[in-house]
Amino acid sequence: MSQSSHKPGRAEQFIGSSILLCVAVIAAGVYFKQFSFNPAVLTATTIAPATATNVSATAPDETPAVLPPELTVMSAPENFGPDDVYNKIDGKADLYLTAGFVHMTCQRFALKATNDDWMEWFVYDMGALPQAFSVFSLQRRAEGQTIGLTPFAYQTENAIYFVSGRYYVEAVTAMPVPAMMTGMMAMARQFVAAHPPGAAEIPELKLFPPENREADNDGLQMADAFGFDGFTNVFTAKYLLPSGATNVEVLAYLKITKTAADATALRDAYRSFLLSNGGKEMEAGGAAALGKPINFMDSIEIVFAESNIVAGVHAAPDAASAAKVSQQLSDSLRKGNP
Amino acid sequence: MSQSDQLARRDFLVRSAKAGAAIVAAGGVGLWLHDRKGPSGNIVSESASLPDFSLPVSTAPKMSIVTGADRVKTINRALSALGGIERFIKSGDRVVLKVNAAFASPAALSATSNPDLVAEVARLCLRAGAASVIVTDNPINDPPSCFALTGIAKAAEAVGAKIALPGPSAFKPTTLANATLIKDWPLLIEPFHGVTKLIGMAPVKDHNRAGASMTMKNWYGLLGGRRNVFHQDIHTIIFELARLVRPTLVILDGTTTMMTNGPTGGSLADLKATNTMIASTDAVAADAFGATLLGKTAASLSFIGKCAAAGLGTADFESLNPVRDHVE
Repeated sequence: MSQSSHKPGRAEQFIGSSILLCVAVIAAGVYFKQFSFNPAVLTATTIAPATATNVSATAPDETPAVLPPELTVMSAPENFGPDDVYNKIDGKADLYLTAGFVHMTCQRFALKATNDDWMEWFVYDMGALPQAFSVFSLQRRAEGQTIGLTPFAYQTENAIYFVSGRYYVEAVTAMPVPAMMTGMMAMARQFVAAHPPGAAEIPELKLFPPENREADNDGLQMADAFGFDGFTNVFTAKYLLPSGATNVEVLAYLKITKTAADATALRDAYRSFLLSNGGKEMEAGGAAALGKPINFMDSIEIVFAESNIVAGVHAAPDAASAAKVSQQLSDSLRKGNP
Repeated sequence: MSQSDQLARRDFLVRSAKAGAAIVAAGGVGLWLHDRKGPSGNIVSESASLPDFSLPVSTAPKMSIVTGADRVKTINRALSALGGIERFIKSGDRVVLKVNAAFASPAALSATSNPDLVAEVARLCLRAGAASVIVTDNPINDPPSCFALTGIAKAAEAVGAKIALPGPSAFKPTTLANATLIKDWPLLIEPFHGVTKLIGMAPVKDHNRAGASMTMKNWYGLLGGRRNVFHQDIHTIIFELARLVRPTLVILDGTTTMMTNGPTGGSLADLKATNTMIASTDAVAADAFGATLLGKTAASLSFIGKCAAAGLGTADFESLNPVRDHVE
């Protein structure tokens, strides 16, 4: 019998198949193991950057071209991308990353007069105006004073924060002496001139009714708004309602979906989320058509759908104010215009 | 048995031998290419762990809370209330102060440990007879600038302490038993060689992910690698760090609390003068009290509950009967 015409016996077939099976198992093991590679090993060569400063030769042109006369360069610009921005801002990185962070440049500048006092200039490229507005709004300081630098800009005792187009910019000093603040403001103006904000309008914010609305307190939560993972790109506005000698604050919100059916489904999902986490339905009050309010952790939630928009109030202090703002918002959305 | 069967058997044996040789050759090549040491450079093969620096259980006070705006005065009073620095530091001790130097941020913004407080604690340790005091942290980005611009380096060195920057050889992989996150992970270990006492020093801060950054979150600065991956499970990593690191003492600086926009802050508007200094041998209790300075409760911070449930300390800080005092 020639070798080529020999037909393998059952034992041969079994052993051969077993060997092939072993090889297949090993290959599969290698394949799946690569997806759970220990990141500690991956980063073994970068665990201690020592004196590294992330100076990039290809840094975008986000640093000041000409410095104000009050300031001088203190350190080289540093550049960070999505993979390493946490190196600079640690636990704050997630706030930017979930909002679409693209790139950040920062640099320190010293006050010429003293050379000991310094400020740091941060430019976050967020990719688009809404994303930049989101991180701006989520960090807005209550004590901040609105400034006319751009439509979204304010100043605190020691810092300036603003949005210019796709950029969110911070200028921070620990020594808010007049010369420093003057220099910082000059840098901010120069940046806005170099990176014009354009129309700087966010159409969704115009859907909120104006009555009792707090100025300069709108917001945008890009992900997990109110702890609900279905709420992405949720716009918010604050309302102050007179209540006796004081005012009560109510947060209204809206999210635009693709279709009316999507809005209804999302409304129902949020209601289920609230109820499954301890929320209790209340008797419908002043805004009965919008559904029963939910008492959630001793505050009031109302959520409704209007066309392709999910809207409502979050964590209102009482049912009456929640109903009032919800009804105003519903009326405004129904008209399509505040 | 037929002749053809005998030939087939021989043929089978030849083929098996060839297959076996191929497997051995492939295995040999794999063995030859296998890098037993892993990536060259910073990680060495042997793992490391920190010793338990905590003091034996005693009836002495475990916690003190002192109010006042002057950190030097409040920390001295807080330590006196616990029996004095001599209770914790003996002659010849080698001490590590694990501070928060995470950012190249001025002290006035309270994102990092206060340099005056670090200097005072270092001075007290040396006065108590410490053979050395090492101040360390792993800020990741530009450690020299972080220690310099926070003022910590200058203040600590002025009283005789040494700054230990996280150099390339400072890390070794560590694995915490029964941990889900700390497995073969780089740990800042070099500054701890020969060290006998560990004091953790942290400011009270809001934290975007954890809700609060206090003494137990402060151990995060001992991790190397791409530790940001742990932010996705921040409460568990803080819990595991609290299991991994058993300090002699923790000092929680609530003189100025970062109420919002932590952990970086930036605006003075983020800060509030809460004028409180906490010293404790129970980090869970210290953090539970610190939560109140942030207007929160221990129950609202998941990592505190995890640590308390594991017996690492108590979230009911009042049960420790903390010594309370005030200094002008």
